[in-house]
Amino acid sequence: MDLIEGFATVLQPLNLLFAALGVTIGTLVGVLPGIGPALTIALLLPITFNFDDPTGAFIMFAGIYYGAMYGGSTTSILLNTPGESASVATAIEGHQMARNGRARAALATAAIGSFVAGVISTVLLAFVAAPIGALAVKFQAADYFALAVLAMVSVTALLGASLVRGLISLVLGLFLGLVGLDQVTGQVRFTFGAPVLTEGIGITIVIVGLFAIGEVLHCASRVRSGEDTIAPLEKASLRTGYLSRSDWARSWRPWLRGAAIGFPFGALPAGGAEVPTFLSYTYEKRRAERAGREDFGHGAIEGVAGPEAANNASFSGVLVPLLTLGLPTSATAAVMLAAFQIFNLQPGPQLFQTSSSLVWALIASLFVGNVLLLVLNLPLIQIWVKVLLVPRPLLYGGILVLATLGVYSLSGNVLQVFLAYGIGVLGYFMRRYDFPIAPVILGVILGPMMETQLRRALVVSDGSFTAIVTRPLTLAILLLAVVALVLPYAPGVLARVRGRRIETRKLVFSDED
Amino acid sequence: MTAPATTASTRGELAFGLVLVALGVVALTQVRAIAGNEGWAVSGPRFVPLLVCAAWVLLSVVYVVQVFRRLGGSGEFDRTAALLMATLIGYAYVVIPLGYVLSTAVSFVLTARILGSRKVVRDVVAGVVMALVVYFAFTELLSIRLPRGVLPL
Repeated sequence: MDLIEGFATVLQPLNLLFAALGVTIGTLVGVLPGIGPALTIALLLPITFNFDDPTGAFIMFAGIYYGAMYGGSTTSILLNTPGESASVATAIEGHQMARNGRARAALATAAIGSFVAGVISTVLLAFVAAPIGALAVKFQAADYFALAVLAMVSVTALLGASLVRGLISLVLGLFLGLVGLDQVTGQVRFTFGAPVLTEGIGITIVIVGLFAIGEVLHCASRVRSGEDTIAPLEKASLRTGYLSRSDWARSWRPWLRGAAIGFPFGALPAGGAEVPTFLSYTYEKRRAERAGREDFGHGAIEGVAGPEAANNASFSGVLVPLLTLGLPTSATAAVMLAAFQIFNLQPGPQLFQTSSSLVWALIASLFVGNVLLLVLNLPLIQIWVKVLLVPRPLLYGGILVLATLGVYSLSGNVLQVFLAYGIGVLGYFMRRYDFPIAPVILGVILGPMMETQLRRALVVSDGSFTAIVTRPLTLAILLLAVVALVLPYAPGVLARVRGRRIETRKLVFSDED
Repeated sequence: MTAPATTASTRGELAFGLVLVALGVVALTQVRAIAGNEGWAVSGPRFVPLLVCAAWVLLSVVYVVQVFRRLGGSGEFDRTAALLMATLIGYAYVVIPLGYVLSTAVSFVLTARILGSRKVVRDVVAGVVMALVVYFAFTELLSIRLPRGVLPL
């Protein structure tokens, strides 16, 4: 019932226009190399400052997200420059396909897979969100603390080759989150006497710094090598040229499996799209190997179809903890939360009561965004590819201008721009020495919440930690976090127990090292 | 020893690790600067920062040790890196009482010497000029307060 009202809102001509505009702008910005969905939304947040009605703004954001995600996979496939770790898995096979002259098929399976997974996962979201919201009312401070710990630990442990580097990334993020006023007592912390730091370091500043500026610096340091050339799109007739019959046959199962992996992992507070996309990639690869095929690594279409579907499905999944618990578990969710806060809305158990029409309009706009994406982007792909023909130095110059503008228009303060630059330098060195970026983001967004909830729980229990470990739900969530920490080492330990020699010591969901 | 290219990038990693350790120590000392009636109570404003900064220092030390191991840990390199780390940590401790300019200039000269420079006059000039430029750029142009310390600036 509520969802139908949501559709009625979204399908008004003006809102449809917002959705179309969002998809178009999102794709345009997202197609820039190194710019992913979170960064795109962060850069485009100021557009909605003058909106009176949050509904229109959120419809636009949904469009921007889908556009940016599709733009990001376009760049990953054609240029092999994934903007976020969520599209790294797509880039592995997708770029190989493009180099084999099958760019169009890769882009098509990504777009259609995103659409299929997006629709399925949005249906699941519509069914799951309200019951979980009702359940979430019972959650206490200690549970929120444990959820935040779980989200941070699982991403840190499962991503990247080195646990130490991942934990350092996480700690740096937690520190950035500590800077500014203490949310409980109002004491200033780590401001080093600079007034600009008193209000804290905003998540958008961190995202722009780490992703946009760090990426530009990273590319600048190897721009002379001129490695990446755009794989050309092969000529194809509009009707049939995208996917051949065998492409369809090989794609549809990975799409469904991707959706099945993506939504639950997104909905679990386990940090967004990185883990499910790599899980889907690994799974499709294993299946192909078991079937005796050896085309993985040389452009297997399953390696694009699965991860892209998982990526899109996990976004709807991430909206579950965001809308029902107010818990952002990915960079994109954190920027969405910032958008909610611009309109004085607080996601959480009460949101479904207080702003029910907005929530359902947002969910309906996810459906509409998916449709628009397919209708607008598949035929227009030639135009987006033109963006990539802009010479490298101009493109990166443009990204810097866009990033600076975004930070300045959000904060109205030049010092914040310098802060973003400083974080960008940190991001450059982290990229250079293989430190994962995702844990920093999660540390910044979840750290303050984790601390506030922990202290709230400790105040209730008179400073005793027993309150946290004696509550069954809290304890269960914390134990899950421990499992996530140990899991990557389990295969190695098991093999050693059985007395076999082992090849790798840690299970890794990434292509690094 | 590893191949030259690997060594160069590993040295970069080592430098990054040492900077991380030094920054972590600075952050850790700043925990004490957090005011409040709660002191070190677990529900007070200092407890989580203390945990985070301690973890930061600990993890970056582990990281530095890991990079060391990969380098093969030749004796001379160990000593250079250890001296560098000591300088950075010492810097973190004197920067507030002595002031930014003096402590930066001194540790710049020390660092250059540890890294093999023997031209003391050039190092001193470079260190003093750099420290002064940074100090005035930050305090005058950006109005970010840096520790003034003992010098009448």
